Amino acid sequence: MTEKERLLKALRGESIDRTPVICPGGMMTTANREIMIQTNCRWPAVHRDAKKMAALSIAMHEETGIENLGIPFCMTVEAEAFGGEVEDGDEITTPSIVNYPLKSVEHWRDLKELNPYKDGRLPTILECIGILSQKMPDVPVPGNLVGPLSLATSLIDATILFKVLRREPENVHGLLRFLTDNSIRYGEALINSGADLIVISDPSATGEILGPELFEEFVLHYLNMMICRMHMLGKPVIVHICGNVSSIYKPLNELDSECISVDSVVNMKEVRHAIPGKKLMGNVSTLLLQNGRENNVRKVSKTLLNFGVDILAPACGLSAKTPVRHIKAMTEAAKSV
Amino acid sequence: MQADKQDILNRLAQAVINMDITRANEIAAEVIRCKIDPYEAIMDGLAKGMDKVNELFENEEYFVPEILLCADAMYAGIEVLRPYLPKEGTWNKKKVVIGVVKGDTHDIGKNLVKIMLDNAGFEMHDLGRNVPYAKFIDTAGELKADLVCLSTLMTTTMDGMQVVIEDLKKAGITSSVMVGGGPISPGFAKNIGADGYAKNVAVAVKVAKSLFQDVHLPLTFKTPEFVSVRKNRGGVR
Repeated sequence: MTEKERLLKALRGESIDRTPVICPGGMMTTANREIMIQTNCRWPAVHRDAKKMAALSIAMHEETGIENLGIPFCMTVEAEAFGGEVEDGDEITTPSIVNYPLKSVEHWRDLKELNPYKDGRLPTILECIGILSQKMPDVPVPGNLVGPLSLATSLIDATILFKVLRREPENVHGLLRFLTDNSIRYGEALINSGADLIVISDPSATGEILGPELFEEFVLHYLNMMICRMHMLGKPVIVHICGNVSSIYKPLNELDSECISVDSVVNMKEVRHAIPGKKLMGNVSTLLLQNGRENNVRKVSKTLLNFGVDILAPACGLSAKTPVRHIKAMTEAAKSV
Repeated sequence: MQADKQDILNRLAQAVINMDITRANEIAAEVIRCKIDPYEAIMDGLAKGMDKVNELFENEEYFVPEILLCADAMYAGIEVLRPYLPKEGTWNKKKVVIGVVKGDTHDIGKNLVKIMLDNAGFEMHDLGRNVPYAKFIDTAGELKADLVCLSTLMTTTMDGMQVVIEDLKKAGITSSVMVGGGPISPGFAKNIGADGYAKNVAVAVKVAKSLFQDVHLPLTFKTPEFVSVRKNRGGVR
């Protein structure tokens, strides 16, 4: 069974020989400084170079045993394509948005429709996905998208956005509909370029920040629109939600993705009970992966596997300083079952 | 009259809880008309409402958007009352420098902590998000800050916190440091040499106050010493 077959079967609920272990890329950053130095594919240059990006993610797959190819190494590509100013960071810091294109939500109509083959770094990502899917046909390549509300917080100051959720809901819905349509178009392009599945990360759309009512109104519906289109193209979807999800169990039951990926604060047993219909992915603490002992990483991974997590994965993006042997301790735990 | 005053203060608190800027404005104007001490109106009206909001947040009845709107209502009320307050006193408000370390542009948590500490009587200096390490050191040094608050939401940037703490020490700056944010744990905070760790917004105020426990300077709007200092200075009546 190839790594690609195993992951896709796991997501479809078909029988597999063992649990896959992945780190999807995008917000769930999958890169490491040791390997950057080894391959001479270093941040920040890699972020704008499809070939180096591909080389670094292949090396990550080979050196750490992570069973996918995870690009890009940040969650700024869509926001940048919409006109957000990005600072590329350094050897260990991911790119980030430093200047928002929107000063108020009502100006969302000034945003230009995305052309995934032209705008910002989107063509670079598509090119990289193409290289990876051709070079490594047996390894799954996720297409990474940012959820509409989180994307909105990269286009406008989050404080402003969160205030208008209640004050100007119609403008917010206008913005979110626009972003959803455009992200769907980018998602289609990712799939056309060779992505095997779609991972949507929605770090700002957490139950902790929004609570159940606003999550239902401003997150659930738009995620489902994206998921629906990806399903029509025959690709499974994983949604990553940050923070504690206990306040949004009810709306999460209505999420149409095959799988939910959760943060390290989340108790998997409770989630399984509260959201019985979903595959669960997670949730090895990235703090533990970076600073803990190898043995503890192994133990936590084993506990998750014994519990029956459907996909073993870090709970968040990996710090570039995470030692390779710690990541290996996690991947080997899955492979030794 | 007494009942009226209590009623006005209650309505002021309620306007904050209801996220109602217009009402907060109106009632604050009523405070002035009825010649109620504006400080009392802030302390026993607006700030009290915000305390209740914090409680609702802890109980997961309110979430981040609600807190932001409540804070707006509180600040709207304060703006109306501000011209009627006596000039800044010489009391020693604790100076706090707050920011999100370089590489991270998420600042919603930082903004909430700022609002809460402000409400608790700290003097806040906000450096914003994606702040270069040196900026923390320079500002803390210039202001002789009592506390530096560092926030991050990403595993990838939490190492920057350690750099800031080390550089503060190297520069001989004795400010306490409080850290918080998604990926941070108490163990991590201790390891990098932080004095305080705030698990979330709701506990940030408690932690910040606890760092200055042995100091007897009035720290909050609500301490009786502070009230009497203001009253001895004449108030507005």
